[in-house]
Amino acid sequence: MQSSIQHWWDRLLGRGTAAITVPIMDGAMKPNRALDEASVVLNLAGIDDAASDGQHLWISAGAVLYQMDGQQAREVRRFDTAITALAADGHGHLAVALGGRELHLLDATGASVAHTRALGGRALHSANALAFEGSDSLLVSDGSEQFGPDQWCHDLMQHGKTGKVGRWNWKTGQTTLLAQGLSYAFGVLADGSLARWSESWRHTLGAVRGNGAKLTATVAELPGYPSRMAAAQGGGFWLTCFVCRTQLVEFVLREDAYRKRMMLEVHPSQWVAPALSSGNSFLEPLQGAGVKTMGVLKPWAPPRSYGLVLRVAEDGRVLSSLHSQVDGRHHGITAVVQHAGDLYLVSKGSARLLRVQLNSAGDVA
Amino acid sequence: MVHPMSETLTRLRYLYWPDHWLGEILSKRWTETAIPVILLVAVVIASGELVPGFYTPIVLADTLRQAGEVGFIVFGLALVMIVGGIDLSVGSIFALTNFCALVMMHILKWPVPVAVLGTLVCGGVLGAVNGVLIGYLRLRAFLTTLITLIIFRSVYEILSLRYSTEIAGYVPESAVWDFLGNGTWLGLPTVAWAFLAAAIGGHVLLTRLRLGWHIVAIGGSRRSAYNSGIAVNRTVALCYVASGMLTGAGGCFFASRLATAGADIGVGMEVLVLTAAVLGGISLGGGRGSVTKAVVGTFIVLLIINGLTSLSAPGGITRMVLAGILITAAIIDVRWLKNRHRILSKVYVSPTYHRLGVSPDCSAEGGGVWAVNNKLRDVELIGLGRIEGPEDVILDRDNHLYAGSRHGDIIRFLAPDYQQMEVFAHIGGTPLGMAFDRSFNLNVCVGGMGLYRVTPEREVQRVTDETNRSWASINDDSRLRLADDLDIADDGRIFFSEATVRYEMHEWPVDGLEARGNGRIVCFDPRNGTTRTVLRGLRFPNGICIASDRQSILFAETWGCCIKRYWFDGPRAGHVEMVLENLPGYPDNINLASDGNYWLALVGMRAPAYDLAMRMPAFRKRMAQRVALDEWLFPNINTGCVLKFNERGEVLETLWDLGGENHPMITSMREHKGYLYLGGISNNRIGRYRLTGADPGFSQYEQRWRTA
Repeated sequence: MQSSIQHWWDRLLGRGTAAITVPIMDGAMKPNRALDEASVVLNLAGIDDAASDGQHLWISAGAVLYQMDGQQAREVRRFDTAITALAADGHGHLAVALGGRELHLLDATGASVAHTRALGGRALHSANALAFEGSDSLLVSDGSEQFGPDQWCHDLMQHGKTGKVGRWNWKTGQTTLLAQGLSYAFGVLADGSLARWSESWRHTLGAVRGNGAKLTATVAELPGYPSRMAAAQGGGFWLTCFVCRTQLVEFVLREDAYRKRMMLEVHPSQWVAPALSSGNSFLEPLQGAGVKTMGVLKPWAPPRSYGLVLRVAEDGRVLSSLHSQVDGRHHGITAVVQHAGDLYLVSKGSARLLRVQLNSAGDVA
Repeated sequence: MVHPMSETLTRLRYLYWPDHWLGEILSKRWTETAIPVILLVAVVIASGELVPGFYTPIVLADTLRQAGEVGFIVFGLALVMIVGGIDLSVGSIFALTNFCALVMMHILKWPVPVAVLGTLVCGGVLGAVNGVLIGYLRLRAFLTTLITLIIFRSVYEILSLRYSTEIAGYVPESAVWDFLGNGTWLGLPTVAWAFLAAAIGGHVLLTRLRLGWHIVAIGGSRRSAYNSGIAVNRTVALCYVASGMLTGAGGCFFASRLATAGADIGVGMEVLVLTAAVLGGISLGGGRGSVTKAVVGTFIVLLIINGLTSLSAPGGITRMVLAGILITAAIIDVRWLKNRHRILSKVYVSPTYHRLGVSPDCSAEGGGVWAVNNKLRDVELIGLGRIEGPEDVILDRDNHLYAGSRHGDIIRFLAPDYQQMEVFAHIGGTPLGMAFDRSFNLNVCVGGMGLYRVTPEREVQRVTDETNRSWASINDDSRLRLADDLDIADDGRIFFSEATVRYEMHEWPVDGLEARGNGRIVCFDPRNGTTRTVLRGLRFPNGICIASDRQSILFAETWGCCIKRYWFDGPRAGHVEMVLENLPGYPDNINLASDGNYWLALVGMRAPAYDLAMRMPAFRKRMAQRVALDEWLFPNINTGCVLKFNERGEVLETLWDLGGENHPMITSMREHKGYLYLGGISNNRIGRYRLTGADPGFSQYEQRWRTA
């Protein structure tokens, strides 16, 4: 009763749960053009994930697994369904998620040696990130039990809370659930004794220790929706934010009547919602500051799509960031991997593989 | 799907319930007076109901006498409060002037006029003490008048002790003096007439005279008033003198009525008077107040006090009620002043239900006339980076190119290469639509200013900046806020659109969000110099073009996404007909094409998410309240197109620049000798597109005026 009155009051005044404020990008998150200035390694339609085994860089695009050979992508294996996640360890193993529903452990030739379709007794539905942990297991994030990996936006707009994170020990075949009921799990990382994951719609990272103790919100109140991660040389990790938050989307998320009608009556590509890329059609909604003035699109306009990668320390502090602002092109960064001293980034929004040079300290040069 | 019934209910709810009235009423200055007036009416009714015999003639006359006496003091205090001060000593001055009048009449036995004058002078002198201390020596008003309250009171007590028996021992036999105190004229007590005269005088002073304006200005901002050359010290001092004199007038009437110099006269009067003033709506912060407010406040307080007295409430209760009212009124005063603009900004925007029909498929795959193309990608650019905001473009008989700029200039690019650019005329507001009349005058709609004309000699003349006020409108809609585009009939009448009467030019997105029919079409008739509104209730009327029959205009409704035709002459005069509806974008200017058809600019395109929001007014209202303007859902004006249509409502051709890389937005286009010139209000360039198969000799001026 009290909470419903409180909720009503909040809605009336736009406070508390009804507040639509978005953290500003300041301090370590101050915008720059690092992603726009990154060198383009490859244009590849459907590029989605990348992984490094120390010697080779592997990428996935659509249903095809590639191995990078210098500037060229060499096709290794073509599957029947789309690869929705990719991981590599340094011992000749690769792991892929297919169609979000099954995990396969591959050897170096791309042949499947083990597979699973469930986590802790629950079927996989939208597996979207993988990370090797130790020598025998794999961390998996499963975004939603309602929507497939391509329909992440539907999950956001329906306030999805069916994400889960688990561990698959491929040697014993045992699977365990580490967390469930997540507001879209997208991204896992084996970070020493910690298993970390991104909980996108709550803009936080969660983690669990090896002994099972859960840490809540190790990184919170991000200005974007966090996604896949990768270990960083010199400690800490890289965190991608595949889309960013805007006041308008936060507002629409709280406007149930409009949101439901929009989902029913408007094509998903034209929703008031974040997107991996934008400006492709005049049917997309526009926000006030997005109006071109004197021929210029303001870089700080509310981002329908944005490129953002954060360097996060072990204790959760954001140390630095790479951006592609609204007027840039390299939006929708879904994967990051450090390989051979460089940082490789997958811009799904522009269908490009990008490379940023790092200095000896492992920071953006 | 949403149930059609509920959408119908929403539509009817917004069709018949005037949401926009609340904001318009609240933005009126008189609402601050209206609230005390409503309170007064409530008190009058309640007193009649609760207190038996409250409105008998005798009681009424007595109330009026009291109101007159107290009212004079409230006037004085109101003046002081408006100038930004406060006068707590009015009670003591009242007592002293009462005593002074009694001495002059009862002891000195002076004639009545002299005694009255003497009393007023006495009040003035006492007020001048405050005035000098506060006005010239710049002491704090509160402290100073608190001290003079004590001093004057002490003087009164000393004097009244000595002379009260002497005063009581003689009754002046003067008919005039009795008339002042107890007489009536035309059924009303003398004091009421004097009060009325003072009220009229005070109103004229505050609203019509220089001194009154100075007083309000000082109260509003003392420093600004000083900087603009107002004699602040003297004016402030004068207000205290006036306060003393008005209190003296009250004291004089009181003396003539009761002839008593009792010890408790004027005790606590400052609270009563202050309550009346604040309750009436005279701000404690200064700068806001009126005579009406003072009168209303006086009556409310007196009616409440007399009502309580009639109900035999103890004096303590009455004073507590008074104090309670004062503190409540003071809180409302402070909170209202602080939050007024915030409340207003929240309630003023009142979106309404607006459903647009299905828009045609513009995709390249869709084929047909609407299919997107990239014909405008390669337009030549004129004045890139040198001109800002050319909403409309026009060419003269020498092929020179004219365009407005957001700096308030009419810019001219010289033929033949349009490289040389000059300021043709400076107007000040943002020039929007343009048209040449028969004698080569350039008529321009100027945002925020009205309709202007630039002669070939570059002289800027105002044509009109106001139209007839409509009686049904709460906002004063006589001034032109956003004249947008125009065309000129054969007889010289100028028809121009005014996009909105509720917002200023830079607030166009708010008008778009509202989607209410706020716009109108206005006609200026040069034959008798009159300006009349001919059509109203239009959704952002924009482009205007005289149709081929020379008896009608075609006009675009931007938020309505349609083109309509209005006959101003001929057999169908007054008739409006839809020409082109359910456009996929927002229509802007319309101009003649060389083949007898019309060019139309679409300034932006309809996005389905925005169209849906148009059908959900409550959602838009909350968005306007919660979300910053820069983050609002906007009509997509980054992509537009130019299309050609005919009077039968057929679209013949469309020209696009996808992605808007070369020419981001188009608000107007003008065909001239085989080229199409493109303007855009947020562009820094003018486009020039070569038309294939167009008449290479076509000029709008020739077409329009050589054949007319």
